Amino acid sequence: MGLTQILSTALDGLNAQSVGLSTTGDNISNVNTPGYARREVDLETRAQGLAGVNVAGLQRVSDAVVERKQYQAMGLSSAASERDSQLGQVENLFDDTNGSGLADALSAFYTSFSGLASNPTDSTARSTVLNAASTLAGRINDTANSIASQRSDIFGKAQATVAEINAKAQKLATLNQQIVAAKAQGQDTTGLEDQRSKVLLDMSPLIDVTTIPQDNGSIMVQSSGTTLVDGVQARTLSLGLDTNGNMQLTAAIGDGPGTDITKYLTGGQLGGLKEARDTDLAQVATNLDNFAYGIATSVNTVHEAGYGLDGVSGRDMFSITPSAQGAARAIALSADVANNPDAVAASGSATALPGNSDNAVALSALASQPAVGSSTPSEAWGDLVGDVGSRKQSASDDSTMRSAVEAQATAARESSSGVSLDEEMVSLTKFQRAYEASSKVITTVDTLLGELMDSVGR
Amino acid sequence: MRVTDGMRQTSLVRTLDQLSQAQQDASNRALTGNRVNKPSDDPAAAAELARIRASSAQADAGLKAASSAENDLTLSESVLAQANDLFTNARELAEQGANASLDANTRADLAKQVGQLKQQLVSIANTKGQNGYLFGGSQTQTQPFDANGNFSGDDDAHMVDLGTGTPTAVNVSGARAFTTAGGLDVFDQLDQLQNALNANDQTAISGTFAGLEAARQQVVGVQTDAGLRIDQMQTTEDVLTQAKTVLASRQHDVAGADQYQAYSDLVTLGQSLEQAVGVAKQVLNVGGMTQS
Repeated sequence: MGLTQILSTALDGLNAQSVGLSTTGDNISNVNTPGYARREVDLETRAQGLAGVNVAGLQRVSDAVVERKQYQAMGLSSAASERDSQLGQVENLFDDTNGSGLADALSAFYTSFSGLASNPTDSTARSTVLNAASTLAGRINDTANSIASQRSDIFGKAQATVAEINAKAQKLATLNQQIVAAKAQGQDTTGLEDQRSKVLLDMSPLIDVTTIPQDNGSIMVQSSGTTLVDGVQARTLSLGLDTNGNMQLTAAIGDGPGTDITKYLTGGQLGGLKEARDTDLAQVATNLDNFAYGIATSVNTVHEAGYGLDGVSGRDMFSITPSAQGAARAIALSADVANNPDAVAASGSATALPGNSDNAVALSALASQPAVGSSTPSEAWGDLVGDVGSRKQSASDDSTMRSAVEAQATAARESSSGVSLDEEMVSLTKFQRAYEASSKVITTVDTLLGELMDSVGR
Repeated sequence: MRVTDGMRQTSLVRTLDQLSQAQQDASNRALTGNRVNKPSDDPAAAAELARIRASSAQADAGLKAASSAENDLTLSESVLAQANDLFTNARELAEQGANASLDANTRADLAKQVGQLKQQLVSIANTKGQNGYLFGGSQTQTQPFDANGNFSGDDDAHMVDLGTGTPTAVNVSGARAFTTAGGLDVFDQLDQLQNALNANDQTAISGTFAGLEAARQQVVGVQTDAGLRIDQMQTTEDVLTQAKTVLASRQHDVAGADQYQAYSDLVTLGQSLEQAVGVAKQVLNVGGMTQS
């Protein structure tokens, strides 16, 4: 082997170590970049007896299976955490320990009849009954309205989420297109792949995402039972309400006809919002309606049978809807008794006025009689609180579990694709030393050539 | 397994988050003394708490009703006792008047005294309590007896709910104490005595003895009734107070935190958090050790 050949081998070395150093630098600077997968330099010896080293390329270290698991785990975790946070808001409405529930208003209402029975002619006792009834109705209204407005907020949030998903799906389709084109021309696509990973990482907390890598370098994305991104084409999702007022998610290609995919929607923020809105909150609202309807009708029945101080009977205490539907938002003090304390029917007979209190006693006794199904008012309220508490508890447990799974999946991906600064420091030293050694080879050959020149020229 | 810097950081953040959350919960338990601070802490306990609060409110209302009823019953009992004394006085006047040695003038004086007794009795029968006239039945707002003792009330029982599940009558019957509903019209007995004294009719005067005694008995019967009701109210108050104690202790059993445990949790978690922060500092330094 000639000295000049050694020089070219050493140059090869310098080149290869430079690529190594630059790759290490790239890895180090992207240590905190989401979606970045560490690069490894692919070095190989030159073929067919030639000396030197060839940089075969850069390898983006990624594992499609590990990544798919992470996207799925992120979707489930995000769904659970969204549901948990929505239910946290509902739970506040039913929290008697901080006074925001309506247990106290409920007790005050029923015990006000006890005061009325003790003193049926006292206008204060009568006003107390009306105030307590009005407060109870108001608190039930507030609770029902808060749930309704939360459901409407959720719909707004879900629409924003859908818009975000559509934008990301479009971006994925564009990146797929660029990657396929670059790959076909033999160009480096690692940067584009990093960007695509980042978009997928951003998208998987929004909706369930299943990735299927294709041979041409593109990635097919399936969400909620539909192919959201296929090569360069992305479906557009749109969100509306069905006839029952529940959220309806449809997927369409371009302006084509939409397919209803609501029932397949399980993961991501969108899935969590759907479950919280149309399963949890819808059920809680129905329970509250039944509660309000049961209380109002049972009180009205007894109140109608009694007589006001004016000897009139047949008056309602509450105005209420004809059926349980919408009862919680509608319950109010009836116009028959509002601002008319004398109309409160304390007496059980028209002839025993004003001192008779039989009907006040009957109203007071309602506190321990079935009002909602087979439950007394306070039992029914307890059931409501228990139901909301159970939902929140299970959502919270679910969220904790899902988040642990997500952490594992993220760690697994980090473990395979993440940058380790320790490793990179070692690589840095390794390439630096090799670079120095290659330079040394060049200076050595240079010295040898110099000596040769000197001796030949002399 | 490769351990990367990203893994170290996310795992640290996660652990610190979890510890902070646990410490927050523990501090809530220690501060409030309650294990259940929101429904999701223990849904079944939260539901039971709602029922306990309702029962406790009912017991409070029952206590109030019983104590208010007890006041009026005590007043009823005490004025009926006065009525009892009044008939004893009337009987003494009658015995005096039946003395053969008395002249018409003295008997007329005695008759005046009987007239005063009747006025006293009317005013006793018209006594007002917290809720109006005590002896008018349901007619609590109109004077039940006129100056002659004519009754315009009724025999309606005033029922209240003492939280015991059974409606309880908390008034005594003026109709049965003073009118023919109880056997005889007690005012009429005084009228008969007064008339006999005014008529200076010794036989007629002696003839009123039995009626006066019967009237006294009638009043005493209702007075006893009032006494029994007072006992009943006191018993109810005792029972309800006891029930409240039981409910409070049940509430603590259901939702209360063990204070020592809560405080010790708080201290332990505080220490864990401090240690975790220390560990975090070290772990974050490890990543840079090879660079120095």
